[in-house]
Amino acid sequence: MPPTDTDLLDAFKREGTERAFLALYDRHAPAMYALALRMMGGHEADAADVLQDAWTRVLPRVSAFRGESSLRTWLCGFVVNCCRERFRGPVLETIEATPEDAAPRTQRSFDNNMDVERGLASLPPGARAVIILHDLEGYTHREIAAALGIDEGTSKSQLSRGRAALRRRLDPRALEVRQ
Amino acid sequence: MAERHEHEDDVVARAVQRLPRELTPPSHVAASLSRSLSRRRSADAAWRIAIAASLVIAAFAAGRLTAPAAMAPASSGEEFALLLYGGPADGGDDRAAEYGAWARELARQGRSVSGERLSNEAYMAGRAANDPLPLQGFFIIQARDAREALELARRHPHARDGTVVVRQINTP
Repeated sequence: MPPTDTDLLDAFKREGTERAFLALYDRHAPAMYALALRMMGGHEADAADVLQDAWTRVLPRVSAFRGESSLRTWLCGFVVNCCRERFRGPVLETIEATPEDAAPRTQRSFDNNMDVERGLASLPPGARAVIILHDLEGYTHREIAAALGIDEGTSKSQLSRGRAALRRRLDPRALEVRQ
Repeated sequence: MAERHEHEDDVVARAVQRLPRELTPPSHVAASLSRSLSRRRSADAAWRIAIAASLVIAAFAAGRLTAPAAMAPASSGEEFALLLYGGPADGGDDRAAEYGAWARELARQGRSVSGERLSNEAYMAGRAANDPLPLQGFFIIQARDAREALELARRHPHARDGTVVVRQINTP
């Protein structure tokens, strides 16, 4: 039976070794990296920096993990914070900053995930973050508001506008294909 | 129209939910974090070994109740904290060995001595404070008075390129 998160965490707290760290890292870094990569609009170098920064902050704080959420949720919280710090300009550039018709209309299919990834990456950071956290990571609007330092109303409006913008960036007919 | 938008929103949400939840991170991140962890453990271990060695000697010295008076001058002394600010962020094994030698010398004089290296991570509660230099570590030593404690602090290797602040520990 594979070790639980608690087992891995206890081993790292007890031993503090590279091996204990890598066991934790191997289990959770792929999810953290996926989140970082999407939050950073698909920029791999930025996502790698975020991942490194997040773990650098996590390691001295492992004793502070109280199990009030899953370990992965706790770790992903560090990723969200690191991403948020990297957003330039206003903390959350809102969807209104992007012209509604800026998206290419030639896309005929999003049958593969790359189309969705590109669509997400083309959104302003704020709306992109809200969609990722809500639709992919399962955050509530209250949790998003706390994580991004916005109010719940903004989270709701950004989700709605972000989805609409993403819908415009994808071919509506292709969307229906998957029904 | 509103219903249609709601329906399309669901379609978009489902499209997002189909994305893979995990992606392989670049290998250099794990390598870099491992190196950093290893360096840190090594420096901490060297520091702790040096201090532990000095404490063993201190315990030995404390047991020598028949030692010449000159060997046990400070058992009735005051306690002082030597706060190590600034200096090299990561002095490595050589620096830890020097600190250990300084601590052993105090232990040989019959003084109790202990010390800890502090993590670079700092958390703040209460009102904001701006330390001009990061606090790297501290020693707790015995000395007759502040003047003697300051003299011992001047001889601490950290005083070469860092700052050692001496504070008496208040005891009831």
